[in-house]
Amino acid sequence: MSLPLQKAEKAGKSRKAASPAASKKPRRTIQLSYLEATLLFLVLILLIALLWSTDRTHASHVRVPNIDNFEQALPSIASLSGSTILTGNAVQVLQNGDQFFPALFADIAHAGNSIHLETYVWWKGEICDRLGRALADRARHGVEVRVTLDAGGAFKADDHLFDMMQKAGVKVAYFHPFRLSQLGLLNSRTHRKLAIFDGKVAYVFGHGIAEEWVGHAQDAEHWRDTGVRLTGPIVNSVQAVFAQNWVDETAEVLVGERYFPPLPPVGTVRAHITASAPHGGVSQIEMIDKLAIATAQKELIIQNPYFIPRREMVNLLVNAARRGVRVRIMIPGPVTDSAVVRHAGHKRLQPLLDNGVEIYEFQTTLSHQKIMIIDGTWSFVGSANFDGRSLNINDEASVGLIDRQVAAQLRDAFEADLKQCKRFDARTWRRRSLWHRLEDAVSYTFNPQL
Amino acid sequence: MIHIHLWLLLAMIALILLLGTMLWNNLRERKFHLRVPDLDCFEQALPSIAGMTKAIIMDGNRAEILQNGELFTALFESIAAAKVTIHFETYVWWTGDICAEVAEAFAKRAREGLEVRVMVDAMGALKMKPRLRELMQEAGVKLIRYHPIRLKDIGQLNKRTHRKLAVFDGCTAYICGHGVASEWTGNAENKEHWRDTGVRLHGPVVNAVQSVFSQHWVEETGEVLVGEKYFPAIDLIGNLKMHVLAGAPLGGISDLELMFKMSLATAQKEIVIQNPYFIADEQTTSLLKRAVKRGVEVKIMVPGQVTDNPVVNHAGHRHFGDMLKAGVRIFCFERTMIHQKILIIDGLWSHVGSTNLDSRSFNINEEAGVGIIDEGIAAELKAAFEDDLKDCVEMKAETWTREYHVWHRALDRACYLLSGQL
Repeated sequence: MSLPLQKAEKAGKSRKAASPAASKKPRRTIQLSYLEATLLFLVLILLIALLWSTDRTHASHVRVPNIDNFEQALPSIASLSGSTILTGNAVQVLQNGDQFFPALFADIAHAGNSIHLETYVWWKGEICDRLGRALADRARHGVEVRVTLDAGGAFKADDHLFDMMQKAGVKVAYFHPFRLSQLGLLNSRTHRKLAIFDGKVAYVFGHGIAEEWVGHAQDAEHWRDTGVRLTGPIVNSVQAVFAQNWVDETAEVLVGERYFPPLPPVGTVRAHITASAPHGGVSQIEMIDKLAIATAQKELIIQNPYFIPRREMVNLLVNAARRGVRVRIMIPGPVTDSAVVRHAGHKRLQPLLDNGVEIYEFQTTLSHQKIMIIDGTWSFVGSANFDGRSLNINDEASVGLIDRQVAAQLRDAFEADLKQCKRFDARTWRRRSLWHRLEDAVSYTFNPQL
Repeated sequence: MIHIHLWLLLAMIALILLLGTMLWNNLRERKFHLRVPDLDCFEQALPSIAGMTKAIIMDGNRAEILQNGELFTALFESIAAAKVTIHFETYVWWTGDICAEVAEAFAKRAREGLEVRVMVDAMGALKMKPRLRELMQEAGVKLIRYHPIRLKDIGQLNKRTHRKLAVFDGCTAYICGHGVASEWTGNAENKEHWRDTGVRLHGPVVNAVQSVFSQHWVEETGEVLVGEKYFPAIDLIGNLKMHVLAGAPLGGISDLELMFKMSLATAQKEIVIQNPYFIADEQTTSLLKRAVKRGVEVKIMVPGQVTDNPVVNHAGHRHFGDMLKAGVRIFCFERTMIHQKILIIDGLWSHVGSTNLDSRSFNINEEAGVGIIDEGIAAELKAAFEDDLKDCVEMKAETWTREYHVWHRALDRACYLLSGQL
């Protein structure tokens, strides 16, 4: 493969050198023999084919049977999504910035051994400075502080802040930094949002580190989001997820009881982590989403900021509605950070609405939480959106919680959010303007990357 | 002759370079220099080893070690005893009576109404007889080839499933190094009958093996295996702690390489390695040397004259002189080809599976193994190792340097250059 490449290059160069002498016309053209041109073209096609072939996902045709007994299906669901269900955990649900950040800062202040944080978004603003200072402060007190930042998501961050943190002893690793040698990884980001303290307390959340996530979702500048604080055996699993990307970027292996302490049961919640890093095959996030929808018997609630179901996902949701499941989906309304995503999502709403799926648009602000609640028992909180990027490209982490109380708490929050929503109507939706339909269709073609 | 604009040509060349870089990026392995802190107790490293390889240590299992052809005896028993499902995945399916026997056993049970799913690697099973394929398919066996050789999968051509596993009714599992070919029958008595090791597993860990099987199954067929038939709730029936090691290189650092290097870095007393394809890179060499320095006894058994791949053998020799000088003990097995992939650390933790200690297993292929935390199992595997030692020639630092001819050295280095693909 490299041989024709060199030839093509050489051919190009020699012609280039010859051309100015040959003609002094203002339009510079190059003569290529048909053989050279064909060769060049073939190399290009071969490269595109190889690249597509190594990168392509076999995502689309997963056949999920209907599952009529959730408890029985549980071991297979967990195994298929690459996780194990652990019992004996305790969960605290944290809504918006007002509950999330104070809890986080309290755990930072109390950590004695290690603080680990992985996030996609780290922009600029007061909350970023505050968090940076808090982490630096703990590092100065001898606590091991490790921060994994997505090089793309933290692009806008204040470099001075990280200089200060690193001087204080915070270890900062950028996930998939922009380097020529890593060009092929440019599109693959970590969208995970995790924090682990002393290996004993873990957070899984949708919040980014930016001003948008503070407050209580009161207006368009303060977003709606949800996270959980976990204690119990599941924390080992969250730590392992953090450790994976950490070793990838730094080669430092986190070994020993300092990071993976034995964790006795502290509660009654069963939990499992679904962390995906797609590369070919079917991603674990896609698997768990599909299995969850296929399992629902009574009620399915989805709250997601980027909801772009593909045909297969639509079929699963329609099937659920047809077998009598009350399906309610909440998506962002006018306040959204991505109009393309919003329109792409509109593309396939009609069959959902026609089959009795209830769809709501949140009006006040951007609803950024990624929540799924199945039959009032099984809930998901995490970073995974319902789009091609989360299912097949990015690294994601979500936690599945099997507990009626946790589900009820999240459901109450959903009901409260409903009051700020507008419901879609199947008939008026069908009559939406041609222009709107065109926007939807064009946006949807970008779906694999959205 | 055609005329094109200069800029168009430059743009095309730039595009070719860009795409070439992206492709190289997608395919290249990440070189890394692992930093593992010193621990005073190997046991402390186990949660990390399991966690970093995306597994969880599960309690309550039983295991039986199956040496050489014993595996097939046990396998046929399990095939005959299965009630609902038979799942089987393998890399090698060559020729010999054993192939027909296995195919007929699968076909028989499929005719009796069992769900029989067989996944063979398209490359490893190139030699599979069409007669056997038809026999199985006509009987109702779902026979699938992993990464079939077709144009649109050209980028996946190099990426094979090297996994060898079987799951029966979701409650009995096998993980082994054996392929389906006459080489693996018998009792390692001569060059035509190889040495290999597998395990039969019972207990909750079988769910994890089943999920490893279903990964490739869903990838190739789209069929999701859900329900009690495949994933029954399994009681704790033994006292062994285990974790499954299923490597599927994700572009980052290889899970299995991590497992291997972490175990070398954290061993405190003893490292025992038996592997047919052992190509130590600089880091492995230095980890082994450091282990010897901190008082760990290191014993490595590799194939001697009998090997199916002399290139790998030579590439493996690259750092032998260095290791021998440092006090690593290396043995060459001479009776037949040793094919088992055994790792025993501190007489406590053992690995059995399909993973070779080379780049292909770490960074390219899909592998499956099991880590067993139990002194009894470790002792049993160690006893087999000691027994194999009787047919070994130990390499000595003095003779290795003396007899290590220039041309041999050149050959080793030349082979080592290929180690990225070996």
